[in-house]
Amino acid sequence: MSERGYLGELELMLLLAVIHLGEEAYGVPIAGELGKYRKSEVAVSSVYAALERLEAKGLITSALGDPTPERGGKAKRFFRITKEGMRQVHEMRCALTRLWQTLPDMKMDAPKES
Amino acid sequence: MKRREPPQLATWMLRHLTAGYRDEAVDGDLLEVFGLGRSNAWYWRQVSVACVHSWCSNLGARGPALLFALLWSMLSPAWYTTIASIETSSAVSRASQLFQSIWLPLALIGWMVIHTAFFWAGLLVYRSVHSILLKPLRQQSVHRSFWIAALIFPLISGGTFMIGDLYWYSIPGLCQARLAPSFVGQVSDLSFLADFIRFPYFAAMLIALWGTVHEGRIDGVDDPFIESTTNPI
Repeated sequence: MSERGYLGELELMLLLAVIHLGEEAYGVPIAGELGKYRKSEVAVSSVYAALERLEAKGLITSALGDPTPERGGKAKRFFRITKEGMRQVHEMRCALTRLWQTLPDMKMDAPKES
Repeated sequence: MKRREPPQLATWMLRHLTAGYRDEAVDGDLLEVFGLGRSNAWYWRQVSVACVHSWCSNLGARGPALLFALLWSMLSPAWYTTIASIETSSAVSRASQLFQSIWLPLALIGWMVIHTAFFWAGLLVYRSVHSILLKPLRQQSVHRSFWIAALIFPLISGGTFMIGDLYWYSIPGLCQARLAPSFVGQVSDLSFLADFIRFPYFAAMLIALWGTVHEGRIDGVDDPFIESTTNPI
């Protein structure tokens, strides 16, 4: 197991969003993906705060793109997952898969209260 | 068609009231989404969240510096008392008579050296503790903090004591207040006088340590990217 332990829920979601978006992983689509996963709107600046933490941990890296007129001449910051980030995502997936495999088949309906 | 502009005040807040390092990407992202038809209320909410987030993360990142400045400044009443006892000693009195013509610059230099020693000792302790408990500080920012502490303290101290002199007799009991005689008593003293002495030490130490937290991003650094953009899991 990694010294840092497993990823948190938000961290995992962000890393999966970055992987899923590939070359188009910048603030707006990442916030959109996260909103879809969580079924609620996510503030763009909150996404940046979490992405900065992931970057500080070396799980993603970022670079500024070219400025565009529809963004008032402001550049996009593109995020990409690092090898370490990918390793941790994979490790998390294996751990969750192992846990699920130990459980009996479950129906997703909530139990009815008597 | 004329492009919709977001509320100017909110944009100004985003640029000027967010703490620490922030690049233009957040501004651009908010403008992009706003341009797609979001309301002014949405923009205001996003800007408010950005301001709150930036201050929280900024202060959070400086938590150790804030804590250390607070702890080190707790020692300052004891240091202050030590200096006061040196100033009133017979040796200093004799020296002042001996070097009467150049006593003022000598006393100022001595005052600077003594206080700088207090801050530099604190910064050395902070650097060692930070290296052991967290990670080594960048050499350049540590060097800078040493000079900032030495230069900023006389200004803050001068300002504080100027204000103190103005209100010394208008705060009940302040002119009769005395620090505790023992070291432990002085360090643990939470009276107005002790806190008044602590303030310039705390502020100067915090300002000196503020820059030791590195916030900026470095673009173009070679990081081990995953080459493929398809899902590699």
